[in-house]
Amino acid sequence: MKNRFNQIAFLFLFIHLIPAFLAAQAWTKASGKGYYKLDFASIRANDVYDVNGEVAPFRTLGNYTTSFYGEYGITPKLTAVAYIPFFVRNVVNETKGQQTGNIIQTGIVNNNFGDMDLGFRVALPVKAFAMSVNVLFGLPTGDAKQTDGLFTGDGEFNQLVKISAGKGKKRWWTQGSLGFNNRTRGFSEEFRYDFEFGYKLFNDRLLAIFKINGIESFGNGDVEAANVGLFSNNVEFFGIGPELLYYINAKKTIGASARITGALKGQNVLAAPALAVGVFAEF
Amino acid sequence: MKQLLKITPVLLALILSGCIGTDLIDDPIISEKLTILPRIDSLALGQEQVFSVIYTNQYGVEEPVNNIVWSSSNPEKIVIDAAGKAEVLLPGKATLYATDGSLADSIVLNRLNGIDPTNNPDTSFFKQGVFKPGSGSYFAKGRVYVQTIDGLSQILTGTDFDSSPGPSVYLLLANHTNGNYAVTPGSHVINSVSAQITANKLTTYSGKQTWAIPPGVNPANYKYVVLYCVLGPVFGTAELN
Repeated sequence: MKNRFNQIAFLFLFIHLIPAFLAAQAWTKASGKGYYKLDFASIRANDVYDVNGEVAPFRTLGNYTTSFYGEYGITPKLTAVAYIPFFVRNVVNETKGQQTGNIIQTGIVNNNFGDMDLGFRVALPVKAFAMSVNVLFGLPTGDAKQTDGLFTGDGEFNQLVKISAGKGKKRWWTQGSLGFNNRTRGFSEEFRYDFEFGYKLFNDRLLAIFKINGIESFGNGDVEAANVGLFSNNVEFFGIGPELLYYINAKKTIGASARITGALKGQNVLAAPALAVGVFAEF
Repeated sequence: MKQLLKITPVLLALILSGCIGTDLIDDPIISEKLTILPRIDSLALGQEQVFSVIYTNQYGVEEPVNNIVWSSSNPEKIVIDAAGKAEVLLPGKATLYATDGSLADSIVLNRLNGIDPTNNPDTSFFKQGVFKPGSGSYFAKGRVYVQTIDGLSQILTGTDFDSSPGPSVYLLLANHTNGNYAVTPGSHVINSVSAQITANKLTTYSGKQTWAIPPGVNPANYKYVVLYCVLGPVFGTAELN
């Protein structure tokens, strides 16, 4: 495996999986209260970390995901969670000969619904800090059959269980989680982890968050499951990055967010920065 | 709410972004060549046939060619004039040549014996190679054969054939191994740089298999058998010998 540390100080890597705001949620919502977000995430890459973590060239591929994320407190100890990527656009560039001007390969586009995640969070009876169990069901509502491999989903039903713990004070908080993702249809099971530290600035209107998250594949899936392109099997990465949330109204119920995700290693993922912006509301 | 409305147009613009861009790449360089057409190997006694020549440059693009000099190895059997018109005079064999002074091509007419050539298209061709891995960690291995028997051209793999699976892998004949081949699902894209052999993506990635070479593809014009994923990676190449 090539040691990319020696070549590039900081690699950016796309995490085309459960988005960062689903990671590390230790607290449940108060009854009747919710958090709702419209998010737009994008990545554009012409390199990929292949099945052995080697960087392999790709045609320039862009993935643009528009999604809705929501949390709603059913009871003080039970929160419903939903992630709905209602518009996923995958684009592969055309290739053109510089000398002849000939179009060698035409561009490819796939617009479709993505894979949804529905689940819940249950607060655990721990007094010293916040602790919860997160259960998410990944529904194969995306397109896993596109003829060129530009999938918007993996075509399998997975169940993710995470234990999350967190603690905070007036100006800061931190939380982390460990999880197991059981996958079907020949995809390998996964170990998932994440951690974040957040700090409130400017009269609590700006939240600055530093996030770490990662996936380790058990490698126990079928070799025939996809290993090229988006939603490949045996995805692994270790990613880090900042996120900023800013409340745009004085009541601090509406805000905008921006985040960038990078990674220091990867396998079967695109090798490029992932950027995301969104608007959110809490009520 | 007003603040939300201010942000929404920006968000809508982002949602609708993501146009198909253009990757400019260096055109693959292949050998320039002259090719005599049609590629026949027999003519009937007394038959006339007009031959032509096409020139493809180092990028595989056809260009006009002038000042072709034609000749016959056996002018008593078959003559050919400056315009490429050939006439069979006696039974036997002969080779016709065409050159522009720097490049040349030839065809062997080994049956000038009065037999209608359209009834006996037998042309033998055989080459073989061994797959080597392509880009990154994608791999292919095993033997591959290209043959033409009784006018039917095929590509065959041996029992030792094995390759990485993928969602959109196609089999091609090509004159380079650098990727970026023209592939259209459901079709056979054929040009002087590459020829798409499988119309649809592969579903089996190991063992003995046979694929028919589409009409219009002369396997003698290509140097490699290639396994290529349309998203970019070359899974494996085999140089034909």
